[in-house]
Amino acid sequence: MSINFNRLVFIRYLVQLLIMVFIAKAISLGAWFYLPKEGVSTNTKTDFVMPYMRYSIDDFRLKASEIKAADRANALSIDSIILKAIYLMGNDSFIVAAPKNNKTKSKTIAMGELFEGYKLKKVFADYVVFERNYKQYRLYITKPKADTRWKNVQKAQTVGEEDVRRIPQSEVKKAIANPTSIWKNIGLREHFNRGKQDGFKVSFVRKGTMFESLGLKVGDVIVGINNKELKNNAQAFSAYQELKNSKALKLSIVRGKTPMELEYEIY
Amino acid sequence: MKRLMKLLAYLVVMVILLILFLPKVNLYYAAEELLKKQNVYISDEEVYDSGFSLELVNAKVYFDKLELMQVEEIKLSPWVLYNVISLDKLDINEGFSDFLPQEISSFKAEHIFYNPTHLKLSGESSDSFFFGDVDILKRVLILHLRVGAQSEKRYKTLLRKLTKEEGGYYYEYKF
Repeated sequence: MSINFNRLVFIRYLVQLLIMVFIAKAISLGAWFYLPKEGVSTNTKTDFVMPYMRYSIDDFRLKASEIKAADRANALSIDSIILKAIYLMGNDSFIVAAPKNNKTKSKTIAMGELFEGYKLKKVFADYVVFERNYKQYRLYITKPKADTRWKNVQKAQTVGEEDVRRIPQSEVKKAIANPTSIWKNIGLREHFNRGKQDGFKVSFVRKGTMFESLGLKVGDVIVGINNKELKNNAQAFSAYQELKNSKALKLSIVRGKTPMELEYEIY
Repeated sequence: MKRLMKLLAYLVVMVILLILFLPKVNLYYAAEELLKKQNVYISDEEVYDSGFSLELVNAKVYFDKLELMQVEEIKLSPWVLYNVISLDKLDINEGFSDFLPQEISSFKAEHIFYNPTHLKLSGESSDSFFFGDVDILKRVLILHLRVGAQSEKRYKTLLRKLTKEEGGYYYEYKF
């Protein structure tokens, strides 16, 4: 009799537990229904800037022997692809191309890679050779339209063969390793335009320092570094961190009311 | 009394079951959405639901696309009556070396049911530690720092901005 009673109690508790499990699971499912199903991820590569490299025009000149007669005579043309850029670096050469019907969908294509059914075989200074079904197709680079957006931007320094401003890498590394030394040599204050920060204003530049040789003047407002905006301290800090591995520095400044760009090579 | 004990037992079992079945990963995603509004992102993490807690491994923490730190393990324990977030081995971005130690071995934030308007904070690095409290209603953060000799020398510029108190430093922030 007692055995039956214990069994009954056990079954009763088991049923109660199962009911509680059911209620807990139902609540969880209800919560799951309303909660987001995917996490937030940040794409930190959105500000990607192509690495700076200086080329001599000689790098782009090809020897006549490199252009085979077969390419010239037999190559067909491709109408479905636009060639936007060519990066000629021997076996590491690559191109940037996009389908003609979707010009914004650019893709980087390395040697031997397939794009729209065509395999990239050869890269030359102003055209590339694709292959499809054992036939070769030649694609010429699209000349970009003149960009009129920046017509007001004065080039304070031009990165050319003769007058390029150069900063030793050691100086940059020294400044990054010891940030407190920066504030002794240059004064930067947050600059606001219509209540919103648009950059950092140079309040002083110590003579004989790297900052003077950069060509910065008191009153200049630095609004960008390497094509990145400087609208808050975090962006400034991020740009400052990236200088460590940078081979070039471009400061976008506003002097008086004139936007200017100061460009340097870090060697 | 027996009835009360029985009720309490049911309550405990129900809480345990709720913790167990809670969609912790989705709750974490919801927390990520809230952090996104503050421009804080947790990225590249591996998420594991270990039954009673949620573990994030090798998480990178960004603020406004700037990498602040990499955390080896973040453990979130939503135990309803006692909730804990603990971070282990925080590798701080070297760009902050002027302000913070490169490695913080642990950080913990605790919330206990009998003190619902407060968060208890604690953490330690190789030669320093801190403890503090967040008053959620008054929106005040108070930290007490106990700094080792090496850190005292290295971060003297930063420490100068804090208030000295017996045995260390005191920091108060209203948000």
